Amino acid sequence: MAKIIVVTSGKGGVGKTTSSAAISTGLALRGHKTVVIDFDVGLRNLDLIMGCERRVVYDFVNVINKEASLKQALIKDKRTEGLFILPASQTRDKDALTYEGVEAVLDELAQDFDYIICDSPAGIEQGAQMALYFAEEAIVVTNPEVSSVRDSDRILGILQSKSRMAEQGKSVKEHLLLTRYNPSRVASAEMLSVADVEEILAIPLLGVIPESEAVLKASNQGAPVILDEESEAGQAYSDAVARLLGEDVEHRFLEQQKKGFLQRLLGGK
Amino acid sequence: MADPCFQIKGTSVTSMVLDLYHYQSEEFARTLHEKVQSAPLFFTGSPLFINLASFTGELQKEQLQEIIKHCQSLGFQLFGCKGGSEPQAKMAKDLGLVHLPASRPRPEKADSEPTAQPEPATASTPTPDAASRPTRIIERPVRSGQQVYAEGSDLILLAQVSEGAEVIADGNIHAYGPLRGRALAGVRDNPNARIFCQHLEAELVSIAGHFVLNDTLRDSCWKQPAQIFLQDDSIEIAAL
Repeated sequence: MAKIIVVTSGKGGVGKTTSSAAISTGLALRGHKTVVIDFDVGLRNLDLIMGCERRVVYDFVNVINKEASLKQALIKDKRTEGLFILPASQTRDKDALTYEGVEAVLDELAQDFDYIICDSPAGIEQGAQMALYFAEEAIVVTNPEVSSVRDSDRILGILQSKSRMAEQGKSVKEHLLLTRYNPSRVASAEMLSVADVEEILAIPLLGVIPESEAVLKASNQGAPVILDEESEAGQAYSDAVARLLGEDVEHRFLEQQKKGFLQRLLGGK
Repeated sequence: MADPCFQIKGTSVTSMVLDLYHYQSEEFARTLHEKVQSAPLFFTGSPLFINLASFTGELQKEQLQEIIKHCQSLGFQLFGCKGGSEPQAKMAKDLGLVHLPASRPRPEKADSEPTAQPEPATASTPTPDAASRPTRIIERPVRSGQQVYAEGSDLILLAQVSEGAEVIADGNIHAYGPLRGRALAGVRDNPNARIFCQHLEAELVSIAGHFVLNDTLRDSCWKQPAQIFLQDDSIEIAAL
């Protein structure tokens, strides 16, 4: 049976889709057959980040409406073995998703895959609730600033009250993924620190992704940043995936790095 | 030992009540229809029972049948009725409805005599009302946007209360995690209720309608263990 993991945040623009792409790629790289589903119907982005936008023929809504089979709609990732993408529809809105329809698709996927990653839209309405309803685990993506933390807190409340696990009296396993972390801005008190966010949200820390130019570059190129093994962000996502799989990996990139003599001389970053 | 194949538990189910005062077929159908039209999604599929306690006049079996038909056609799941006379109860059972006895009069009494509640003699103990129900214990964090209400009892919070969350009790509130949201104790006018917390960082605290905001709270016991109570109609904050 597949494990269903939702990537959610409440607030928009914090890095849900980037994280969904990176984590699903990371899971596939480690040999787990993974599918990532874009729940952001109407504002589909995942296919862009995964670099498969030109190969989208059928989408999630077509499958729900039985206009296409899952096999037709699933896009096989060209770079990573064992990774599939189920894109959202760009021409519909979030009302096109129904609980019964989504459940049927997830049940069918669960027979073939090890991990199902649900990339949630922003907000706390229907679309976001649909994405988190069936999840067993949740990765809550948060930026180190107060409004993002507040929204994450809100979505955590919804996870533990409106998900299927909550309705069955169980709880969804929570993971905190702190993105766009900039240690030098934390040092100058412009940003909340990891400890601040952990104190407010009180959930286990899955990873801290440093703010990095590599992320924007990767998005524009349509290649998940985890594939950029040189970048700190890529390495941080790899660590996060390892922790998601239960490994004990020490957190990196939390401290401001002092530039070495040569780096300063050459103006390297 | 073999696994039992079932377990019987007590539960309470939320349902709508239709308080029927008198009955006239067309009027009933029209009013109910208008009501449903005002919020169709809200009413569709709602469990409903009819309260006959305030019904005046005679209710014929045919009329009850009509009521059932009207409710069902508008999407309600009518499952029973409550109160009413013996013959009415029998009639309901004959028509396949569940019949429940009339409500205990206690809540109505509380509403009509709010002034009778405070008892000076029991100043430091919870009111009898608070003691009569089991304390509500919340083990998980209360997150932003969530609200927890301990009706007629104390409220114990073992995890944090986030900013933007609201915890409310008719009795006392005990918070063992950080209290960052709003806490309202003794909301049904119980001036003897108190709030106890290990880590006071609340946005607002209130006892029996008297409240203080975050700015005032910051002056004493901020982020410290504290208790909040009412003295001469003013909120006091004391270290624990």
